Amino acid sequence: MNRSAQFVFGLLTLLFCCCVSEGQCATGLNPHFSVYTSVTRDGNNISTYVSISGYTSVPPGCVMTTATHHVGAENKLNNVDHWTYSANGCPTCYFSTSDSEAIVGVPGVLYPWGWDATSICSAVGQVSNSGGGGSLPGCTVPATETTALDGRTNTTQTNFNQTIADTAGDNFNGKMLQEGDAAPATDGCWWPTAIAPKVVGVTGGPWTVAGNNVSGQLNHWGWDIIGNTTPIIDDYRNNGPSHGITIPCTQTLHQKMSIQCPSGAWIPYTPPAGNTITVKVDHALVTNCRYDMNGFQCDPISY
Amino acid sequence: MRLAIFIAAFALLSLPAQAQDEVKERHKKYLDRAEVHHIGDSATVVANSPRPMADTLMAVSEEYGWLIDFEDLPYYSSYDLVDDTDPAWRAAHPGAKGSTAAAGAAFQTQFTEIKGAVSIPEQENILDKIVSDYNESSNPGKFVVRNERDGRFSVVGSYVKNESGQDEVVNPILDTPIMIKTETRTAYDTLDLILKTLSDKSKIKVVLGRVPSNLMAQTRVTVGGENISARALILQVLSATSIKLYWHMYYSTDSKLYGISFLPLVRASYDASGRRTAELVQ
Repeated sequence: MNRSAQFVFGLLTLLFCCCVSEGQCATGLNPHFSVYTSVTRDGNNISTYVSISGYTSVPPGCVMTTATHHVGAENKLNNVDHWTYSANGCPTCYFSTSDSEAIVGVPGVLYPWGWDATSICSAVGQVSNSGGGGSLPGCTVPATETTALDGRTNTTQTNFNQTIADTAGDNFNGKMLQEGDAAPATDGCWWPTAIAPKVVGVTGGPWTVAGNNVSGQLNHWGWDIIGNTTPIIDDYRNNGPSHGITIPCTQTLHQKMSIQCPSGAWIPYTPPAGNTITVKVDHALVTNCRYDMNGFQCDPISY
Repeated sequence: MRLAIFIAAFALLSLPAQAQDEVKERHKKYLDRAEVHHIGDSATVVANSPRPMADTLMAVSEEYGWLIDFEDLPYYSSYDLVDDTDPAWRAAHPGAKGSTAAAGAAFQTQFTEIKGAVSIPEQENILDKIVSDYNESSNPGKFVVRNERDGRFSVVGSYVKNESGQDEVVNPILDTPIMIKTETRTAYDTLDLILKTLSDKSKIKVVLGRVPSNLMAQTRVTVGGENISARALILQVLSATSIKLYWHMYYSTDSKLYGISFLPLVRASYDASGRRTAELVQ
């Protein structure tokens, strides 16, 4: 290729490839960032976490020769602001940064929390931004719950005795607990003329930790009495099959456990799916089970 | 003649199949729960079940958070009962007795809704309208509303049909006077004792159905007395619990007994997509 041909080729390249300046690229930049936030409470500690990671795609024709990009994560817990930024890099580079904060919460106090995650271009400014927040109760909640068998009520109902704990070794004695439904119950034993209404959910509790039937037992609550009364079981077995009920039949409930903070607010401590409770009625056997956050216990009863 | 015999034989053979189809068709129409629809300043409750009165009252109770007890009737005549034997079970047990159910089906009632707080007399007027509409429907039994005071109402069965199709008076079984020794017991044990004493006195079995066992086992009550209605004793027990409870007492036409269940009072709420949740009324 001679010199004149090289000159013409270079001119064409400039004409077709460098038609958009860095400052004019703002509308063409396409951010691909993932933002993750979490709040954990363990004993008296409240921990908050914000992260952002991803990259920006630059459209063809947009040449950014001098611009640099970076990302930032803001974690503002109890009005104390923290920003964490990644290092600067090329416009299409992958960036990641995160910020963790923690405080010791006082029960009954609500702590404000705000977060923000942003990606910034030195040439065009902010490329993407998202934020949020809320109020976090400074209240100790159990991190674990285990279940033990503790006798029976009226032959066919099982008394379950629970122990709650957290890694900080908090004492929950005296705190109030209640149950709710994490999901609708299902009742495979019921038909429209059974002697009792269909099982539609749990009945609410409530319990005092180390009170009621487990008085004086550190961090225990109970009993959680699970199962049907004997007349209901008799009805299921004697009359259910001719009404189309197959024995064995099973009832399943999804128990959401909550603890009351001094402010009066109820804070759930079980996972979103809750504890699973099953009651199986067979021809000569009733089995009541409680599947908690950490394991399960079943009570097979010959009746 | 041969044709007549053939038709008669065919009719006899096809009867059980027809009955089975009827059971299936009836069950298809049953609603899982009665529905409350709000249109303008009125509410319409739609129920379809063997016990439409019970379902209607439960729906109203949950919609407005009202305490409404329900006491079923001991249906026994062919005017009030239908065959409810499951077709598959019938096929496997061709000679067995089978099952019956109260002959309840579709029921609808409408009343004017009151905006804001509803007074006790206004609640009573609405319940009177619902029960009056039911008594005029073709569903089995007749009921009356009783004001039990302190914001609690009972809808109590008063008439069934006898085998001649005539109304027959039923004395509510919970009105039976009984005696239990005044003692401090758990609410659970006290209810159990009341029902056992009532069964002995009335010669009709009344058993404990569904109960909030945790609450009942924790609550201690001192209840007793002589010549006091079972209803009054039960109300004494319920007045001591930390959660508001109401009862639904159902009659099993298969076992010829009553089952009484004590249920936490809840109030329904609906999110923007119409999803229904129920929260305890404290």
